[in-house]
Amino acid sequence: MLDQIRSLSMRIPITFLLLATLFQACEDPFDYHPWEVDIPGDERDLNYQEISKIQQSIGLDTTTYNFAVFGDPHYYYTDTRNILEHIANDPSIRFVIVVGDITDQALMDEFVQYAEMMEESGIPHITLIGNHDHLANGRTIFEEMFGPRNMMFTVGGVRFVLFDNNEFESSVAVDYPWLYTSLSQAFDGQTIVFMHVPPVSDQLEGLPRQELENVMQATRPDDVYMGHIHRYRVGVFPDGTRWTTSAFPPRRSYLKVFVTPDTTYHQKVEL
Amino acid sequence: MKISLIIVTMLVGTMHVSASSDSLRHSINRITTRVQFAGNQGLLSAGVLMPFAQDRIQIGLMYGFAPAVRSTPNYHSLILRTTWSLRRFPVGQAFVVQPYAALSGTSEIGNISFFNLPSQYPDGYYGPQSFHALMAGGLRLFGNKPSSRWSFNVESVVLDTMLWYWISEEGVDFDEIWSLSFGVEFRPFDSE
Repeated sequence: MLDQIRSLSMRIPITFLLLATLFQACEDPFDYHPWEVDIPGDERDLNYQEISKIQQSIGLDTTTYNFAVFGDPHYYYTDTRNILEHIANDPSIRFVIVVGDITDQALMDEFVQYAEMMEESGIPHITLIGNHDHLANGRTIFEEMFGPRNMMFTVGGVRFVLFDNNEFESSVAVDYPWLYTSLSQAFDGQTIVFMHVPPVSDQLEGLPRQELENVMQATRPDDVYMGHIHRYRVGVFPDGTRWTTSAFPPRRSYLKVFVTPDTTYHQKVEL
Repeated sequence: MKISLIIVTMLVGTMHVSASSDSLRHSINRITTRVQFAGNQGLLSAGVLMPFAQDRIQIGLMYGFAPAVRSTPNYHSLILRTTWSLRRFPVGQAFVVQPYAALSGTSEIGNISFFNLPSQYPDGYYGPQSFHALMAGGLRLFGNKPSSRWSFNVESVVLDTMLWYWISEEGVDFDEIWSLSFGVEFRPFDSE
């Protein structure tokens, strides 16, 4: 028997089996389909982890600090890395908020590529869902990887509200009542809202735009930042609330937001 | 449905053009059934492959399935698979190892993605999302006898989108875009 095992003809199938076992032991070497929900263990609830880091770094009390905003990295990994390098070289920027469209087709591998790229940048970051991220199983992947699509937290005396206002791709209704309730809560400080889709987009034509404008008028946040249209644009809601969109990475620019105890303002930074 | 018909038509057309009646008979005798684990075409996929060009080329149709996870739908797909086998390497007297390359077109036919643009989108908002190409390199192990009917293989598979990202963008690691699959093939007819 031993001689048989030692013989070459037996060694090959055994090697095959060992190889298979070895691959099985590696961290999930199998992809079942492009849209599968298969989140790596260390890439869950990333927004909670990052918010905790930012709060520990800046604190909750009112202070002065800066952060960056950009959106729509999609699959432009080279340009996005250039933006992140530029941000990392500005020590006054404490964190970055990515206002959605972190994927193109909402493939599992695209979510992982984005998460790894952001992690490698070393910059604390918070991620919002975009319309492309809603495609296929994207919403489920996003929620498991980053956390709730609508959330609110405080950093340095400012209330940050992340809101999913994607219409076409989302199979769930945009939760304007949540936005109204959240923004209506009493808060002693400034409030900045982040959404993916700006009011000029065809995604919000008709009732959605009216609902958004009604909430803005009723709650009057101090500033609103968005993405989606891939270019820098500043506008105002009918009530006078300012909204700003960040360009996407191939345009080689991002927004630097300055927070002071009394106000927030931004600067368009070009690479 | 349309994409399924296109794939079947392509398959039948390819078989018709590339096979004379004798070689077609040979091909039918050497039809292979394949069951595959993973490889971006389902948790399990199964189908039938026909050999051409002295068994160097296989063309076939497969169906793939992966069960629903959390709130997502089940995954169903149709796969048109083509393999090109390279030279054989005898291993001892009992076995042969044969490297091969595979190119597949896979179309998700369930409710995860779409081929035709759904009605809520303006014209041209998205292209088809359900179709992808898969490229693979693999090793096949089988018995060193003409009567040998079983073969086992391991493949490294890459999705077209991720390969394109690796080609066009910096920072996408080559080793991270590949995944593994295992397959078993069986020839039901004795072609001796």
